[in-house]
Amino acid sequence: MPKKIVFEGKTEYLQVLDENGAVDKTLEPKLDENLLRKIYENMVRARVFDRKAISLQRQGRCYTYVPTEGQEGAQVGSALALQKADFGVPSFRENAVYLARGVSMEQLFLYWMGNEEGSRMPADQNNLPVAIPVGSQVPHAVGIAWAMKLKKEKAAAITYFGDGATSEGEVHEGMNFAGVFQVPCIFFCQNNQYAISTPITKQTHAQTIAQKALAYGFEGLQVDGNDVLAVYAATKAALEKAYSGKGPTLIEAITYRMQAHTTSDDPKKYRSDEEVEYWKKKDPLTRFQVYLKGKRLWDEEYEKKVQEAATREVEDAVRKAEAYKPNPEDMFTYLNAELTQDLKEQMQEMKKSMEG
Amino acid sequence: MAKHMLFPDVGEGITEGVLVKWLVQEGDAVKEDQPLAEIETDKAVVEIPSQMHGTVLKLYGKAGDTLKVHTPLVTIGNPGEPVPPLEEKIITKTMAATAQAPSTQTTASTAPALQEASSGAILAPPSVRALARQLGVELGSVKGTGPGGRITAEDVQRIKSAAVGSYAVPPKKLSFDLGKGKRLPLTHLRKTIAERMQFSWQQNAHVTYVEEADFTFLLSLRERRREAAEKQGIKLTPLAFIMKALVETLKDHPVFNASLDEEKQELVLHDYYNIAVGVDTEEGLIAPVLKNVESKNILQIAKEMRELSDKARTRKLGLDEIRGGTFTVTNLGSVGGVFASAVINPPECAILGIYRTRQRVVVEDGRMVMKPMTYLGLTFDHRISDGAAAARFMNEFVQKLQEPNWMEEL
Repeated sequence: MPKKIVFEGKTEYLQVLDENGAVDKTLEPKLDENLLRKIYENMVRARVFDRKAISLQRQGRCYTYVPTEGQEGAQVGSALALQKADFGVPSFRENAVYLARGVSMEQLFLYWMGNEEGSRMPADQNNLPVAIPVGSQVPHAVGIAWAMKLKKEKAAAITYFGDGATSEGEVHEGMNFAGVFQVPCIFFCQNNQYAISTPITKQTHAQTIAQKALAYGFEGLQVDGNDVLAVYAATKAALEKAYSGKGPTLIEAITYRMQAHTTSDDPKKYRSDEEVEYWKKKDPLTRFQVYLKGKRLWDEEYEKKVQEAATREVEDAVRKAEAYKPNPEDMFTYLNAELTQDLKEQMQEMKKSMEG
Repeated sequence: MAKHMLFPDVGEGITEGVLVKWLVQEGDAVKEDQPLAEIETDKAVVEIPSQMHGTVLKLYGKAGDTLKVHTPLVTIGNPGEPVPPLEEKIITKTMAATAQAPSTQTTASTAPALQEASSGAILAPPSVRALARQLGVELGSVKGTGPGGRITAEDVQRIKSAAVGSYAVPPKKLSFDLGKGKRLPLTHLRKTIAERMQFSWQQNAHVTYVEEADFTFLLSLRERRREAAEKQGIKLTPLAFIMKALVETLKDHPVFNASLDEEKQELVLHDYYNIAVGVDTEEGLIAPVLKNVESKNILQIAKEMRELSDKARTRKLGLDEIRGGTFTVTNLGSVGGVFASAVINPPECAILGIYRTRQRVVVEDGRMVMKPMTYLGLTFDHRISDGAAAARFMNEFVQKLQEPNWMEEL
């Protein structure tokens, strides 16, 4: 009986822009100026939106919010690599993905302010609404991708999840199915180092999350998630692969959440100020700014313009979202396509008690 | 147009928070999103930003106060604008929030759940089940006081401390006809005292050891140094000398400057001496903490004690000035009494009572003489030290007070 190696795998790591903004010319994707500006502007929009949402929550004008700051590179880089026909299937931290894919700030504020209407994604955009239960969205994305394959569409689905979700069964069920049926699905894991307070070292004993794809028979790679160019390039390559029938890809974007897990969390209880400072130096916006400056696409005046436009957009969206008057019946009518009998009864009861 | 900004629910279903500090003052101009205050909730310390541009007309509450969610935090308007009265709606909310005394609310809202818990499934997280197994408490006999009737670690501990032999006896709630007298709501301070004292009384095995000391030399030492101190604006009290002697004695008897880590079953001997001193205020007892007494001289102790007790009386103490004590002194003698048994201030393990100094007749060398005598009572936790240890502690302490020349230069 011979003993032999039956499987050997490797996992690559990709970085194009280092943390000082220096670019690796051999790996640099050739993107036109408009797209480069669009990438930067969307990262700024996301950050301005994010900070406003946290402030609104602290003022009692918004409910529990899930901050994005620090992860704009991973989110904007992947979202802008998508075509309109591709389907976005986010978890709950993908504010920058939604914004980059054309969802309005008003729509996102409606969601975080607790309005059912906030979950009604515009019909002409291929995005699922926010998925709060960790990992639950992954099989949905695989199903969508399978449908795309059966319908022979030149499109792919991308699903977002965090390092914590890789300990959930659905994520593995989804990846296994995607591997077996070779569906055009990208599994985009933002490894932001913590699942609330659980550090990545307690999430998995594996060296990378990316390598888990090998077990399901497809490629997994790691990218510097704070390097928007690397993220864009990796996502683009995975999409091309998906479009040409070569199946799924797992992308592990190494990043860091600069704020709390949610506005109900206190990160000081589980991570040090030094650690946060260390990651601040790796900020995705700062290094991309340096890159754009090198291409003479960024100066102070441009920065001011971008910041002001984002601030105006945010203020305008807050005003509109706060003016929205929800109907309490929304709680029932937005749940199912048709109301079930018990929900109808509950709705009647609620109406009666409101009249009384 | 001035607007009242209410303290929002900044967590998920929090009901109150403690004001850590204001970041603005009345009269300050503020911008929308500018932080106004730091508030500590049971989830985190958070900054509360302003909802609007304007001038701060009124701040509600001061550092250390507990604020109920949905009660006024600040009023913001134009400079000089009068503060409009709180709208009916807000007042009702404020009153509702104040009236929600935690105990009554809990009882009312969880009553059905409690019955369910005792008749049907037992609601308890794994950590509590493990604790119950470890303590030999039958969970079926425990009534939960947590959300929805869940059994908490405290519930199990309470049963354990009430247990006789191996039988866990749930505490029985007695009901009384309380008559129609005037009703006063318990203040936050009163509730805090009640909670801490009840915890201590149930947790610690209190024993009080009483000794007396002759203060003749201590009082004359105080007299000798009084004038020099007064020149520096410091009122020198016997308490300052007593605290110095206390800390020097604690150094030789570290088991009384300690805390019990129940979880790890370890005794923590503190390597610093933070002495809390009970101050009688109009609203009730507050014990500000004088930190690192070991590194302070007599004058510093007297001066800082005075500042702390003034702050206690005007309720201006910061949170860090009432936390972190390793031992407490209660100077009840300034009011009266022969001696009393004190209650330990958790998580400390001992408290010293100093009682009134009286001229008493004592027998010395076969003759009756008058001396200023003071009773001193050391109340300690018999779980972690014994009577003989307390006696040895007191012997040394009394000697340090009766022969106080060592404090001449301190």
